[in-house]
Amino acid sequence: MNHITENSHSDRELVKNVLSGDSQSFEKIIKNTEGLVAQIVFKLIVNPEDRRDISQDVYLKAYRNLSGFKFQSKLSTWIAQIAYNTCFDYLAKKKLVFQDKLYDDDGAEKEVETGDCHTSGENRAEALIFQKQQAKILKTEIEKLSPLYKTLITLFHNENLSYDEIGVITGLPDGTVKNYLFRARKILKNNLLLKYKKEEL
Amino acid sequence: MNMNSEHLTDSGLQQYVLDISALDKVSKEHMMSCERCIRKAADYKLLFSEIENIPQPSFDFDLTNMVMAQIPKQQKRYSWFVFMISIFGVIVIGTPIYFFWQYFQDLIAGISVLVLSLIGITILMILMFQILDEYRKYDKQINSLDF
Repeated sequence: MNHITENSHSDRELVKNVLSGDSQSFEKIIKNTEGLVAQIVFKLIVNPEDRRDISQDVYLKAYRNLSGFKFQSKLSTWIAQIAYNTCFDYLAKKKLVFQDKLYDDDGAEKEVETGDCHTSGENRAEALIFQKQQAKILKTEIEKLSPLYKTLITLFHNENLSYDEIGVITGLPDGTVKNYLFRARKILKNNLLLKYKKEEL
Repeated sequence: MNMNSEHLTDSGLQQYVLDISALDKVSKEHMMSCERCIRKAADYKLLFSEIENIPQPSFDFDLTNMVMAQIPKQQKRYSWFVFMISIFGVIVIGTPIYFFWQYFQDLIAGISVLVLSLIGITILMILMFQILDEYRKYDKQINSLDF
């Protein structure tokens, strides 16, 4: 991968300044990327104290390894990759996630509707979703997804990253990222509709 | 996109919402007339819109200050470099003047002030250009480094 983006000039300036001893440039890097790192850390780490420790660890790692950054991606993508790997290393160390649980297929093939006869039920389920604090509900359902799936959804829809960039962060091929995203959204949609069909009953 | 019983799969519906240009012609034509698929695509469109509206999380502590407190303070190398060059320049110019001041006085006794000024200014300008040239070379080497 060899992306030279429109931000590469400012990335180069910032990195050069940090390596020359300009600490203010590194402060700027932290401020520019804090939002993206927060998205990843919040999705993967539940404990607030652990979030504090891990987020600091991410930037200290970035600082120590900055001279090795090859500009093959955006600086923000590289730091997000450090955040992602740090979080997963933490989860693996705490044995909080296992490889076979990184993504779940539960519901991937589950269909809420089986035919046109469910049309009126689906419309009423949608109306319920509208009525019941959409963002809060959706957030809860996203949190129920596996760590990888909710991270992918956040990076694509909230951070507007491309499949390429998400692939760099997660270490997954572009095709796999796309496939997992399709699955994650399908599970999310089905879970939402399933939940509100049950409520309706 | 693959179609199942003439209807689009969930992947196809998502692709339709995200980027219709990636769909094949048959799928696009299907989406123009199939109410079922149009409705399902609308579900996805709504879902994507709502995901984007979720407030972004933020840390409830000053991450920048906490990180910077753990990073050792460094002086800019640029300032150190300029300082050392300046000291070197003063030593190079000042040392012979200091030790051979009497000889300089005798040497310039017969030379007019104007000529002396011209010589002095010329020497200074040559030194300045050399220092600037060395700094540009240094800067170019730093920029050409592959990080």
